[in-house]
Amino acid sequence: MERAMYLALAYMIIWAGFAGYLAWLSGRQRQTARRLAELTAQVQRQEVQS
Amino acid sequence: MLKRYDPFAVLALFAVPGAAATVFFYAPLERTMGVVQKIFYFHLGLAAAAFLSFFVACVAGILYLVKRQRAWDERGAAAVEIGVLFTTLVLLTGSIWGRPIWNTWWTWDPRLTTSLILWFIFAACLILRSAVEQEEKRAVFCAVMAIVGFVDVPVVFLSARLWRSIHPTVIRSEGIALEPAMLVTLAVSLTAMLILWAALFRLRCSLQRQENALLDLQQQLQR
Repeated sequence: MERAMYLALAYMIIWAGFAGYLAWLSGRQRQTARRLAELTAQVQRQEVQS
Repeated sequence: MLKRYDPFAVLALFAVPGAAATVFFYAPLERTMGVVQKIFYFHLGLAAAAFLSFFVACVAGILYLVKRQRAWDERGAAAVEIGVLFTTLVLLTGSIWGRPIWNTWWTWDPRLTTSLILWFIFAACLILRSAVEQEEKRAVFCAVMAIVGFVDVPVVFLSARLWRSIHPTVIRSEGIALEPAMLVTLAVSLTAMLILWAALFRLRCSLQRQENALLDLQQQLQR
């Protein structure tokens, strides 16, 4: 039974590692997409003005 | 992320739970190690994916130095980051397996030590990437480091054979030392890990491209 705990711990760490990395990537992607949209709009405004 | 239906991400959604089910419900119990041996299937899959990462980082580094195209730096950055994640999980799962089997969380065995060195090399590569501001200089430094760091990959693979090691070796010169049902489980989990690797790599590359586009726009606005 004690060995099953080690097995559970190992798989929990694997899933937690992937879930954490995916969550971090997803947050970073959202932030980048938002900033990119803001800046694209800003560049377009500047081009129209000039 | 899945809105674009990346084929590898969709495949990974089925392959990874499928591999876990194979490990838990199909793979037979190993006689001496018992249930804890089931850690091995994902541990080896993670290690193979980590090696693939560092191979891709090395190739991307060489191609960047030859062609000086940003796309190769983007691929190299993605491969190193994912490689560090997979190596971290390899070290952690190996340590958890070692506690009941070797009665210790860590030992300075050649396989473990060379794997830890590999982790340090590529973790340093990540730190270097965030430390150098100038884009071209950063890409050159990281490319060189990925190429040099890759030298440790065959050393890790051969370490259990080159030196006296207590780490089990499944892939031997005579073949793979596993019974058929265990071999099938290993093949399934290895495939699942490689599919997951491909999905993460594509996702990370697309993020790197977006970040570079953002950087370009910022520079364009500053001019």
